[in-house]
Amino acid sequence: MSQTFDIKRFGQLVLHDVKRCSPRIGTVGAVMISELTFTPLMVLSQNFLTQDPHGAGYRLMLMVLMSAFLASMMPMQLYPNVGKKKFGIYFALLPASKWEKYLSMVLLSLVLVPLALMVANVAIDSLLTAVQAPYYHKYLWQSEALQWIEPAMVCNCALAFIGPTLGFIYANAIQNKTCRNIMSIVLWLWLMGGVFSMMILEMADLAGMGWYIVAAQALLAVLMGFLGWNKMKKMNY
Amino acid sequence: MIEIRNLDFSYKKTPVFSDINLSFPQGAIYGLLGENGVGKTTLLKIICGLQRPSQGTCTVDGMTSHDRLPEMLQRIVFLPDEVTLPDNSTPQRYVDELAPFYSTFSQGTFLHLMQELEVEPERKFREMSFGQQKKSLIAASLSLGTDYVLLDEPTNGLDIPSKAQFRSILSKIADEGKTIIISTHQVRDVENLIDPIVILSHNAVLLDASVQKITEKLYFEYGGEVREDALYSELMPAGYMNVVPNTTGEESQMNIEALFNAVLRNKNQINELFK
Repeated sequence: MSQTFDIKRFGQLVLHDVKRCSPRIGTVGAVMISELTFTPLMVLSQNFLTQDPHGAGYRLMLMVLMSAFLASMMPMQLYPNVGKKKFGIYFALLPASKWEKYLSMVLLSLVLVPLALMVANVAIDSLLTAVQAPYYHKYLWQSEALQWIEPAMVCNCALAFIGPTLGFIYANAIQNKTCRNIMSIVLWLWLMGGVFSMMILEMADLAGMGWYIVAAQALLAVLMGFLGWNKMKKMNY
Repeated sequence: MIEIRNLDFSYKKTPVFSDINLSFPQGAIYGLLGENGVGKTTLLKIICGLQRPSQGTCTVDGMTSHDRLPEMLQRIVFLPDEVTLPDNSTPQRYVDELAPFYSTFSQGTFLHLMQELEVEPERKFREMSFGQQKKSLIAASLSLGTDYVLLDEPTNGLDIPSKAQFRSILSKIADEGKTIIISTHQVRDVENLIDPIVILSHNAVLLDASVQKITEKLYFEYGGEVREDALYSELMPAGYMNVVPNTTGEESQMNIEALFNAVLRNKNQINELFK
C-alpha cells in the first residue's frame, strides 16, 4: 500500500471527513438555505422596486456572486480547528498521508460543498421557472447573458473563489491567532475584489485588463495552494 | 521498536533535549518520569511525529516518526493529557470514525473496556465528566490494537477505583506484547506497573533502567534513622525511608517516589552507578 496516496484510504478519509464535519453541516445547511432564499428574494424585490424586469442573466450573476462568497467560507466551517493543538492532534495522527489529508480538505471545500450549493441553486431556480414564478420567465441556460459573458469574466469569478478557498485552508492551519485573523481579512478583501473586479473594469471601460487580473489571481491561487500544502506537511503540534 | 538517536530539540531558543539516546523495545510498560517542564509530553509528541527534532532521529519500526507515514500512524496511538472532544458525539461514534483506518481495531475489546471502566458507549461526551471522557478515550485508544500506546498523564481525572481498573487493563495489554509508554508525574498511580523506568531532567536522560537493575544498584530501606550514605531519605510515619547504593546485593522493594527524588538530587552519582 502506497504511503503517499492510496485510493481506498483516501476514500475512507473523505468519508471520515464528511462524518466528522457533520455536526457543522447544520451551519453549512443554514448558510445554504439563506443563500437559496436570498437569490429569489433579491430577484423579486429588485424587479418590484425598479419596475425594470431583470432576466435570467441577473439571477445567474446573483447566484455566482453569492455562491462564491459562501463557498469560500466553507474551509472555515468544515476545518476550523486543524491548526489548534487540542483538535489538530487527532487530525495529524489519523493514519492517512499528509497529501491525502490535504487533498481531502481541498475536495470537500473546493468541489463537493460548492457543487452541492450550485446544484441546489440551479434546481431551485429551475423549479421557480417551471412553476412560472413572477420574473422567472426563462431557465438559466436560456439566458442571453450566457452569450455576452466573456471567458475572462468566468475565469476571474472562478479564481476569486478558488484562490481564497485555498487561502482559507492555509489560514486554518496557521497556529498564531493574530496571523490567522490578518490572513482571513486579506482573503476576504481578495474575494470581494476578485468577484467585483470584472464589473469594475467593465464600468471603467477597461475590460481588456481582465486577463491580467486572471493571471494575477491564478498566481495567487497557486501560491495559496502551495502555502497550504507546505504548512500541512510541516505542521508541529 | 522505538529508537531515538542523538536527538536535539528546542522550543525556539529554549533547549529541551540535547543529544539524547533512548530505545523502547517492544512488550513493556515504560514509565516516563520527570519534573514539570522537562519535556515528557514533548518526547511523546516527538515519538508519534507531532514534533520534529532539531537534530537526530526518532524512528518507529524503522520509519522516521515526523514523516507521519500512514503505516507508522497505524501502529501508534497517542492519548494526550487534554483532548477536546466533539460535544455531540459519543464514544461509539468516535471509534466508528477511527475504526476504518485501523485493521487491528476490535469492537469487542472496545465494548469490554467500556464495560470494565463503567462508561456507556452511547452516551454523549457533553453529558460526561472529565474522568468519564478520559476513560472513554482510554478504551477507544486501547481497542485500536496498535503496537505502541503513548499515554500522557492517563490517570489525571480518574477516581480511585478507575485507577485500579486502568492498571489491570494495561497489565493485560502489555501481556499481549504491546509497548506502552506512560508519561506521568503521579508516580504512585503507576507504581508496580511500569518497568523499565526512564527519568528525564532538563536536556538529558537521568535514568533508563529496568526495576530489576534499579534494585540491584540501589537499596530501599525503611529504618529508624537517616543513614549516612543515603542518596535520599524521607521521614515517613513508620520511620525513615533511605535510598542507598546497594553494596550487598540484597533485594528490596522499590519505592518509586524515593527513587525519583534520589535520582534528581544525585545526578552524577546515579550516572556513575548505572553506567
